[in-house]
Amino acid sequence: MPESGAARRERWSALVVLLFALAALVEARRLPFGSVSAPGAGFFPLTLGAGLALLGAALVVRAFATTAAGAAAPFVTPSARARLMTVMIAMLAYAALLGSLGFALATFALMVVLFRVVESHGWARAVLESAATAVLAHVVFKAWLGVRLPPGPWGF
Amino acid sequence: MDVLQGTVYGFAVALQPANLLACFVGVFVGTLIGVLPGLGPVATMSLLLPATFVMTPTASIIMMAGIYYGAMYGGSTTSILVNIPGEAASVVTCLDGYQMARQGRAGPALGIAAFGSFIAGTLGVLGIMLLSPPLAAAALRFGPPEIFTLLLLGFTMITYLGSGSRLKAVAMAFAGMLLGTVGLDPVTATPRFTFDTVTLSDGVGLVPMIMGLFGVTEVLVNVEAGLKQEVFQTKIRHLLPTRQDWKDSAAPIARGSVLGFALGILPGVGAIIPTFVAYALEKRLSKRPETFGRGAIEGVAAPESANNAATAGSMIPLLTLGIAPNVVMAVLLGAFLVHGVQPGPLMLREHPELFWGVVASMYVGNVLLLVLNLPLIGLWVQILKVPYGLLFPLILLVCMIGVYGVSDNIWDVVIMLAFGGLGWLMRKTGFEAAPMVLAFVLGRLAEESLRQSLLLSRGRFAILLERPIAAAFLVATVVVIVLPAALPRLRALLTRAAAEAS
Repeated sequence: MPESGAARRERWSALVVLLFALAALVEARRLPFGSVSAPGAGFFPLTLGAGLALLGAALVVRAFATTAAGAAAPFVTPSARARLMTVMIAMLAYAALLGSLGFALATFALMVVLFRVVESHGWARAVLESAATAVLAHVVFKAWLGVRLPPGPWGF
Repeated sequence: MDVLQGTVYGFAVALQPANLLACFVGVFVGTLIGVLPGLGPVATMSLLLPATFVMTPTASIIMMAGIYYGAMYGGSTTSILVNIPGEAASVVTCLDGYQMARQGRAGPALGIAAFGSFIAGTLGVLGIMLLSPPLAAAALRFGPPEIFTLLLLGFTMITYLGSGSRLKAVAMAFAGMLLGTVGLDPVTATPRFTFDTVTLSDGVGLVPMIMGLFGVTEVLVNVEAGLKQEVFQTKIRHLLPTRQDWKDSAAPIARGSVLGFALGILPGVGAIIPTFVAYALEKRLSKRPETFGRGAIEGVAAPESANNAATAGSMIPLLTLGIAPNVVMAVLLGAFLVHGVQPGPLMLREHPELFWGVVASMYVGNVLLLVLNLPLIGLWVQILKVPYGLLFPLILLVCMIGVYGVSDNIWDVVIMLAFGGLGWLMRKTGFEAAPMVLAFVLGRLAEESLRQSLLLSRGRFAILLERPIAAAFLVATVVVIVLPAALPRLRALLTRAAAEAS
């Protein structure tokens, strides 16, 4: 019997919680525990890690015990996945390039991607909107509010 | 300083030009983001946190608080005109508000929402003024065991009041507290979970975390769904409710205010749950329950009053105990700490200008909102017509500038994006972000108070039971855990007894 998307989602998420807890436990064990009368740095993280591991185990057991029947709705539709990936990658690239390109240019590039690719505005419109956004953001945040944003090789 | 003196002093502070301006900016921005779906008070307040660095602590807290209750006003506009909650606490307002708009009564719906919010907000501020000083005085006697057991009670309630699975909510609270331990140990300065990075030795930042989980996640959810909004085309006129409208709404506004305020004080409740409770209560009390959902003005008046009163109520634990009862207050707590002020029982004595100034500014802000909202409805309707495709790149940009601006560290932007992706996955799998953030914020205090309690008692957990106030908090915690399980059985028992008696 093919398992439903919902059931699979429950199982994976429960396993991730459990794994996160175990990883935290492994790391917390390297910290000095102290004693109950004089708790050290590892006391609280270790307790929390153990508690979360128990909770994660309970979630896993529950997820595998219940066979939730339901429509096999896809986790995310292919077109939505493409949009989401574009947004995430564009923002990560922005973070990576902000220092070398400078705020105004990096912002312009990011906005072109978001307006053009994600919202499918035409090229001319996307470029225009992006340029306006970049200039406005530069004026408002950098010049007016005085947020320290990296200048590019051309000084803006 | 007694309440009367405090009030006069507070108004003197709140009416200083700089503070008045901060209040105006706060409620204006609050209304704006309340109107816009997909940008809530939590994300906005963390967004504007860096901008408050140059302001005085009083002015920044006045502005932050203004954003919160301003958003409660703004949220109703979107609910009524678009049938999308502009803000989560206005979900219930959609039910009758939108129906009223379709019947050509958008004006009175918007009007009663604004007046109800005003009345509730004003009553709520009065409540803060009367309740805070005695509570702060009592809290001065709290030691580590009392603080820890109080936090335990708070955590328990938080996990109960979520909408999804309890087990998942508890797991998220634990995960949040674990994330809170990243960085230097508060007692011994031992680095924990830092993996030898500079960024993590300061701990995970509250701002990147909240902006990720609330700002970026919200955008991702909307980008995935392809949000399209349709503004209901209607002429808005007769904003002033009629005499009959007032007669119908007076009692619901009063009940909504009291209910919202009382529930808002409790940890974990926030402003959303009181709206549901108020709506259900009015429907039950109404002589014409069948009109609910078909444009009953009580269905707008009660929840809109409740959410504003709840915002006031939720300020009390923060101002008197230094404990954030919900996520918005957690951000506000962050704002206090950024300015080097520890809210709590001592604040009333050490920073009276801050306490009384902020509370008085909430009076002022409520008046500003009423004056702003009625004439500016047209402007808010125009803003609703801005397409989301134009809006979301700007929201993302502001999130990134905000996070980068706080720390000058590009890794915080990466952390924000990671939390954004995590938040999206959590939405998909039914894990809630609120318990995680709250536990993250309160975790440090919980750890410190527990460790200090154990030091005090030389390792005996019994100290938590031996001190009367701490024991009372523990008993309350147990009641909160046991009661919901026992309640249906109790009710069944009672109905059986009643059936036998008759």
